[in-house]
Amino acid sequence: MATFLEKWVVQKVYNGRVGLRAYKLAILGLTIVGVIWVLSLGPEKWLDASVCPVSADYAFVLPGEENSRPFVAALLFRKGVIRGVLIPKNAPTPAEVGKVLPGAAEVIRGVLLRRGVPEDAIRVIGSETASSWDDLALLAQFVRAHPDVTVLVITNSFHTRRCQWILNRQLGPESGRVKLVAAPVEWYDGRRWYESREVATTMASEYLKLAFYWIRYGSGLIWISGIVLVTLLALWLRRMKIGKRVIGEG
Amino acid sequence: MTKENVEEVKVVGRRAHLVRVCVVIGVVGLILATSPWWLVGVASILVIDQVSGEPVQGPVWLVLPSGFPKLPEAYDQVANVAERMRAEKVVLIPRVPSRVELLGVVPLGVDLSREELQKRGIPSERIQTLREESTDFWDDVKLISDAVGDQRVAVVVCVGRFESRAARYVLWRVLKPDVFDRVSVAAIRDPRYDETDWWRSRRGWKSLFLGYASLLHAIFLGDPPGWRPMNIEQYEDWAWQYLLAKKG
Repeated sequence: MATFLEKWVVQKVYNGRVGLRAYKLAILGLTIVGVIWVLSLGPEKWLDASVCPVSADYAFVLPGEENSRPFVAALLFRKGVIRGVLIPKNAPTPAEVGKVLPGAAEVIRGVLLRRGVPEDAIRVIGSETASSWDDLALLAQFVRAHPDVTVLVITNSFHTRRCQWILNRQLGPESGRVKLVAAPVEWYDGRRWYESREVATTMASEYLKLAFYWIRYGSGLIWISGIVLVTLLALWLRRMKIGKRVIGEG
Repeated sequence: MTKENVEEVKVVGRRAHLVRVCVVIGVVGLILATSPWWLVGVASILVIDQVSGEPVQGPVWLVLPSGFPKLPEAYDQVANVAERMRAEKVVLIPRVPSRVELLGVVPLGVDLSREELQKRGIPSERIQTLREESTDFWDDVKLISDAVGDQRVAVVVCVGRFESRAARYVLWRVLKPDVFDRVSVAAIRDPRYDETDWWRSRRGWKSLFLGYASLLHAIFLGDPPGWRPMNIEQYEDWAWQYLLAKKG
């Protein structure tokens, strides 16, 4: 198909019906239209891999966005959806070291206690995690050690796609025992993502982090696919260049 | 020259061209990988620090915006600037309280700042908290404008280092020219990174990204629509409805 298209383009150019510049402009125009189309579909939709909460043994509250995640965990506990809450312990921040602010685990625990979760239903696990990968590795360890346990991971909708990918990598077939539940945030209106700096940067950084995770923690297949893609692109460009030279010489 | 010779010359020419391209890419790559000057340059664009010189004449107000980084080292630097500029007062801008603040799990930002500044020797009577609450930096600047009014004071706004250029731009956009001329920006350093080593930490990358995003957003989209956090009960009702809607 690509070869046919190339031949057709080269022929048209050779015959002088379409200028090479017009062809390049058409490609550029199509790319712009494609990008606008993808953006209008709502780039936030794909990021959201959360489900409706189902009955589970534990909620695992990921640190960050403490104004939403622990509140949803407490709500689920009060509604009888979960029986307990797990909190990963993050590495201390400079604010925590300097005793200016409490750490994330302490804040989550504080919210849970004040919103009706009893002390004996809360477990702080692990020590000094530093990223979503570390936090969910901790959860994977816990899930493997407790073969009958089911868990709801509480995070925000824009974070769920990456979490799902990490869980699949960490737990494989066992990831079915872990479901992702999104805690909504009032500042995140994905449909109007371009209006707010927070939403735009959150979304952009989430896509960048996903790409980083694919490369950093992904399988060799990602690398091979990337190399194949780049090679194909280079070959295609080379062929186009040769075609152009042939026309020039002709 | 025969047709074969022409082809041979073309192939040799193409190879030489390829070698030249590889050498150039290699040399440029080596320079970029081994010397961080260009990385420093990328971050330096975001930094504007206007308080490194001599203290200005007349009364000076130091302003801590509502999103001021709550780090011990940041408060150390504010105390230093206050002393060096002989600040008449330090003005704190309160942010609309978050749910964790409403619950009392973490102290209110302004209370925390006041306590930290007092610990560093700034007397309580020189610290003033504005009455109105803000939702973002654009709001902060409007409140600064109201607070300064017609008073002939110099104002120093303390902001995160990589946000200083964006902050300066917002100040220029919002303030009247005569007020803007009296306002300077103090770029407060994060203890974990600055423009000379931001690429070594994840936090540095994130901060650089946010710095550029803030600047570009301010330039191209201007004052963003504000939002106020819901109270706890409102939020939980809304969250429950949101979760139930996932069923459909």
